[in-house]
Amino acid sequence: MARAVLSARRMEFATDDVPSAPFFSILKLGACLFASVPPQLRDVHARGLQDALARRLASERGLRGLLLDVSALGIVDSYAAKVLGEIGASARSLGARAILVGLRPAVAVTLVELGIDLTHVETAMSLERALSLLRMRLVSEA
Amino acid sequence: MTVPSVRDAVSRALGGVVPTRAMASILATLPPTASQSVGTLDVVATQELVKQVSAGVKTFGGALTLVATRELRRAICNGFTPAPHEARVSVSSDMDVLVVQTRCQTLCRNFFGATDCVRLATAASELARNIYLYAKRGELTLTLTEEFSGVCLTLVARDQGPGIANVAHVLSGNYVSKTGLGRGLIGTRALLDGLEIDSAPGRGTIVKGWKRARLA
Repeated sequence: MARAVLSARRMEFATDDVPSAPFFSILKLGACLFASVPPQLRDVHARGLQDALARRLASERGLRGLLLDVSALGIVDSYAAKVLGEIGASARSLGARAILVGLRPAVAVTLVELGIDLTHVETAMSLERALSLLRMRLVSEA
Repeated sequence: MTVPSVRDAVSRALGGVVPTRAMASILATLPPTASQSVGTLDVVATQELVKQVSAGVKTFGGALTLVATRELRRAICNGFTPAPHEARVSVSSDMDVLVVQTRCQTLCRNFFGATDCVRLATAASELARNIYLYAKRGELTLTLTEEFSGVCLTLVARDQGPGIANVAHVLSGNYVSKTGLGRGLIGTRALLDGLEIDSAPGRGTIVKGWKRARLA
């Protein structure tokens, strides 16, 4: 059984044959996944991020939100916007709401002028706002 | 008669504006291009020098007025319009699209506002991606030209791909493509001041876009 799991893991890595694929850290925060999008993404890496997120959403129970930190993205062209939209759509079909956090104002203006509508994803200016959209509360111990 | 160097021109233009003590350290921080003779720097090198000098003046508590800045630029250029700056990027992979984004942003940084930089880099990225998607390979040229009291960035995307059959239809906004090409070009036009397409089936495509900015 353990061996089967191990070989399955290895298969997963073997399919990921991009030489310089960046490591995406995907953290769990309550019922949410939290991931940071790197500043520049090659096409394959964007797909890799999408796959990794979908895999995590499907494999873990009780997830109802996906928070994507896009504050590092300085330029979002129509392709990058398409990938973001598809991440949102696939998250939705896996039962989670995708929220983009920290979209830069210049990027937002550019997307609107470019005629791109991010319909499948919600946006929030701060992490707190994103969590309140998901009706999650951070309880601090006094 | 020897032509003065840029450094000499800067020190003459700043004479009387900043104290002598500040002058030495401002001159010491100038980029290596300052040792060239006046009038040889292109528009990007000139602007970088002007920015550097005005930042230096600011650290000593002063500020260059608009007139003084203009005077300084004229001294560096020896009274002429500086040569245009041209950057060529050959596009044949998705990596090159990222290269185009970075190159465009570093080129625009000293001339355009922050939002305009993002607009331009996004537009350049769209044009480069069109090359990569539809023609597989081609070339994108970014040219920064100084015009009177301003600059103009021109993006020219050139490829030998399949070409566009009905350019007027694509730009009218009624064209719907599965791949999103038509929307992309209209969006790119919205980000710029103007966009022209020269294309016919089998003859390749040349897309030229431009945006202007005032020189501070």
